[in-house]
Amino acid sequence: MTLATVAYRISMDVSFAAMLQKNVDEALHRAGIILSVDETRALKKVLAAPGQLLLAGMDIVAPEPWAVGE
Amino acid sequence: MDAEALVSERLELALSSLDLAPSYRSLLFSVGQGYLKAQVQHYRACLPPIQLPFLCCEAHSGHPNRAVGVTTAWFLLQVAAHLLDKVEDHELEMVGPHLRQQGVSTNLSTGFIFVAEWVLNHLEMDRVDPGAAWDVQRAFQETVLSVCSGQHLDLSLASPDLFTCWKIAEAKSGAAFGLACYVGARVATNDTQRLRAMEAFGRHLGTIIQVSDDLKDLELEKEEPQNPSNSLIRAFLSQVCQESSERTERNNSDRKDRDLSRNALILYLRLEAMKYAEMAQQELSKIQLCQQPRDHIVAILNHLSWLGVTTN
Repeated sequence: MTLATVAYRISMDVSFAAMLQKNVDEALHRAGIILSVDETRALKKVLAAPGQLLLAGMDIVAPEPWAVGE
Repeated sequence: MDAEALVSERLELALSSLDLAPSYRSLLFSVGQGYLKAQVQHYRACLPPIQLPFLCCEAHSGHPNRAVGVTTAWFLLQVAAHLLDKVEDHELEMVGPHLRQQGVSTNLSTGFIFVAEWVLNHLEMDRVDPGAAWDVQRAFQETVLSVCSGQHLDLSLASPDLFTCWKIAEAKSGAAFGLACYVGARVATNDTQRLRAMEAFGRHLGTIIQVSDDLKDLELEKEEPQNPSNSLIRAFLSQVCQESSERTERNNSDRKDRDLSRNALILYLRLEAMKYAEMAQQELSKIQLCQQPRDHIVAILNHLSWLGVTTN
């Protein structure tokens, strides 16, 4: 589960996170992580969105309680 | 088009056509209405999931009224599955005070399944031809079995790994939303390539919704992150803790490490949601759809793939 590895490395390794922000492909190559095309696109989109990569205190996003029927 | 009103009317028609005890009929209708309103209320920022079959029908040049029956049946099965889920997870207190008794909820869930079946047996009301109606029935039955199979794995595997967790999510929520898109399109077309693409699109969308559900569990387990009940959260923590101990001699009981693992998990779920969104987009790009309903479908995907995060 390579996206799990990437997420974990981003949160634990500041230099890896910084390298990813600069050049995703290069950072993944150096770390020896191979992602699928869809995974790489997803990573680039999340990294490109401002405020998405907060390494501390990431906000919990809105859940989907519609099915709860409250 | 008022999807909520159309679904509500069809439910009322089905219940009034069946020989039921007034109190049971009344409970089925009020609970169904409650779920319907909750869904519409929750999805203020984008169209609610009950719009999906209608939009998939319109996207293939069908009149949305042809999708009333399949949408109603799909919605009722979602309600039945949710009630059963709460019975199995012993979480009936979340559903409402009048449904806390396990027997009442189980019987209500069974009722919703067979009301959905009644609706599917009367698709001629929506001018669905018999061949399409037969295929719609087949798709419903196969999907219900897929969901039951996924639920069985979910209930029986003590510690599934991450890969298995995603397979279970695809078999449950993914299959259910794949069905919504398939049957919506099926009442308007019999083109196999289009139907496959719509089913696959829905499957990816449904898996994103499962991610959202996992994030909700993560929020609920904020107080006890070291002992989560959600299997995907457990699988992730198990994998990253393994990686952590392989790389360093970190102490995982340390509060800071737990917070970092939690942040990593949130980021991971966002990445997975975005990956499924990419795959869903690719399915849509394989086929030509009517522009306006396509735009609405993409808007739902975009909203859900960012998991409610405002990006502008």
